[in-house]
Amino acid sequence: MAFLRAVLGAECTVLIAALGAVTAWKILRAWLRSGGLAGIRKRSPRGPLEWQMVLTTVAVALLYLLQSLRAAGSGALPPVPRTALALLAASDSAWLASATRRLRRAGSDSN
Amino acid sequence: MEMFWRNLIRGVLVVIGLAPIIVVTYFALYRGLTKEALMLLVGAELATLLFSFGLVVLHAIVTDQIRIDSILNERTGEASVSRFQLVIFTFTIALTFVYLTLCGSGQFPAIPKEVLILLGISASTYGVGKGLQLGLGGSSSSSQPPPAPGPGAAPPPPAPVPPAAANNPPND
Repeated sequence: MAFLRAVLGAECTVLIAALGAVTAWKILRAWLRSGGLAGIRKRSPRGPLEWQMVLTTVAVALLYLLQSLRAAGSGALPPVPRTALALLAASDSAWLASATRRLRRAGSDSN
Repeated sequence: MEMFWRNLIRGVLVVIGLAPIIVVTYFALYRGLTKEALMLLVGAELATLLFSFGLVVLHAIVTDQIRIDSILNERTGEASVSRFQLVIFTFTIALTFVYLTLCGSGQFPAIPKEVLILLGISASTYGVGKGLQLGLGGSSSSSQPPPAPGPGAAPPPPAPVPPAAANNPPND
């Protein structure tokens, strides 16, 4: 059974790594084909709230991965700290409020 | 040429799928099949099947039968941070789940409620953002360009931007 678990682990690792690499390659290729650096700039986050959301997401994800490396063998996923959840909720709420206002303004202007 | 590679991949998958059955038959006929060996071989067969499914999906993604190059974009072609957040958290928790299952005792790991709240916040943000775009941005959606064509086609012309929306800063 240990052999089978090792095989399954290798399969999952290979598949997830290949899926991640292919996804990243496809996205990057589509960005470069649609105008090079200008295409990448068009598809980059715009404004401080979007950058805040991206950075919060990456920070929480990295910290969670680090925490899960330490929690190997505990038999449970590590909990996410309440402060990280509050930070994420605040960031998402601010982005949603901004998007609502922007879209409402664009809609009223087009009418 | 494309048909050759497709048939080659199908052949390899069939051989990989049949290999455990041949091994089981060999053991049953010549070596005396024990219960442990049978469990191991059935497990190997399931692992092979799952891996083949994964390979088929991966092949479809590589050959653009499944298109994921706009997974982080809005319909207008701009960046979608809510999609980005959902993708990142989904991959992070999935990777952690696989890692803890393999490194632990093999039991299904418990999922704390904070993780579910995290995924809930992310998915709700994506859903609400999409609903906002469909509801409030519906009046201006007719001026948006159609979805991107195939990989070999020429890029579409840039979408006309409403003058008032172009003057507004993105996050104010």
